[in-house]
Amino acid sequence: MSQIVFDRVRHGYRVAGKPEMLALSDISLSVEQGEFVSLLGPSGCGKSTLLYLLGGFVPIQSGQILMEGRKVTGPGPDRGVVFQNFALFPWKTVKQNIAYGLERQAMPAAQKVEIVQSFIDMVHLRGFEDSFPSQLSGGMRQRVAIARTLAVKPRVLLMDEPFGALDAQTREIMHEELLGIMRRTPMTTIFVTHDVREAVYLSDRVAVMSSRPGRIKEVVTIDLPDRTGPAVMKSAKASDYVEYLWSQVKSDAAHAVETVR
Amino acid sequence: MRLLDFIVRWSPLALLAFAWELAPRLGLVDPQSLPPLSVVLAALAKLAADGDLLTNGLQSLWRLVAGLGLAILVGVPLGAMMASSRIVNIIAAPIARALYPMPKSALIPVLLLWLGLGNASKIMLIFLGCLLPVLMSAYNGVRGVDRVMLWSARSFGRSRLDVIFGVAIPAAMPDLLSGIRSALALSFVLLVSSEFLMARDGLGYLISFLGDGGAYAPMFATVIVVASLGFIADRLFLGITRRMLAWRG
Repeated sequence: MSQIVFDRVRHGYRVAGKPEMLALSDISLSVEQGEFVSLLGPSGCGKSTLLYLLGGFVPIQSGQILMEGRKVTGPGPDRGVVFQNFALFPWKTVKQNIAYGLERQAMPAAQKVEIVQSFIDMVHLRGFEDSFPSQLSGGMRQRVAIARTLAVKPRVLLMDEPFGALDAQTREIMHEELLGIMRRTPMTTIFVTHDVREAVYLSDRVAVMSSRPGRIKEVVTIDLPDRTGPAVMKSAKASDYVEYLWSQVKSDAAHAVETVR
Repeated sequence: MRLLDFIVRWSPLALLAFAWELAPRLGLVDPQSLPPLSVVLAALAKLAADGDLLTNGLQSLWRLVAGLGLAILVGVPLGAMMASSRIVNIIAAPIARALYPMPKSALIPVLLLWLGLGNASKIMLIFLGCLLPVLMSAYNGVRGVDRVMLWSARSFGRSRLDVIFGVAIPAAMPDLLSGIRSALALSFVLLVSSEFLMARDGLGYLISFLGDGGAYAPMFATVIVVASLGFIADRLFLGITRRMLAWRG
């Protein structure tokens, strides 16, 4: 059985005095162990909501989500989450943030210290152990958040536009970092983004979503040779993927603009 | 230069002290109702030497610390729980909202009746007066915490209660500390006014006792002590706040 199964998930919002707005309509999708799947779509298509449902933060109204065969009913450490705005604890240092998930685990303190240090090294933040998040750049903050999430060894990684708040150069560096981490410690990942190139570069499969109501339009398998550097994005194959996905997203984004008018 | 800054900054206070000394001496005000500052300071030295200031001062400080401390101990968790739980909010919010605007000094006769002249009545009054400002700041602070930060904590397998105390309250600390600061100022008001009316010791009692006996110089001396204590407490609290919020960068 697939590691993650979305089974006819439906989600609506209710605003007083207005008919219910359907945010997600009949979403079904299966994700295999070790896969990197992006949810790609314009803003308002419900891709983040879908991730929050899997994270267990938002109650599931209809349909079900199975994580390794068990129904999702709430948040849990088996699903590590990285958010767009980092969601770090600003009063804790880098070291304390990364240690947060380990605090309640039964293991010797020395071992925790060792794990924290190894993750600080993994995200190249040696020397910033005792800095507060307010003293770090956006890219560094997101590295702390990633390290904090991976330190508890989640079964799957959920990323909600993790690089959306970063500048273009930092984003590229973070792509390389993430791919490097995935090579060393492969992990099932659900990655929410509206950036087509990012989705092509990182993903094994891309689920294109459309809005009003949010649904999965198409799932595209990305078959690129070894992604050891951004050069692969210059290949004709990669360009074709980007162009195709862009046309799929654009038609919907344009449609969304029309609807708003 | 720092000395000059210091002098410039505090010169209005020095002028005021100067005016205080001169006005009664020049006969601009009745020296009976406002003795010159030098006379007041001499009375202050005598009060300190007699030990009256220390015994009454310690008594007052104990009431203040106990009352405010209790208000923090109860108000912070309760306010945070109200912000995090619908059920707690439904039960507690109407009570808090109704009691918030009530002048707590109105309770002085009631507390005197119930708890007598000892420490309990003063501590209870300060506790009741400070509880709501502390509770409200905890409530508003926790409500303002980014829900994603709380989700993030929950996704590490922490219980709701653990997230409230370990994440929501620390995240709300800036709001909380400013609420406690206004409670601290309020606690002095309640302390002194309750000691005027229902006590046999404490600085407020000393002020009214000396005033009733016509000993105006030592009365003014005690007023200066209370004002200074309030000022020092506020400065100390600001220092603690700055330290606790160093992470804001």
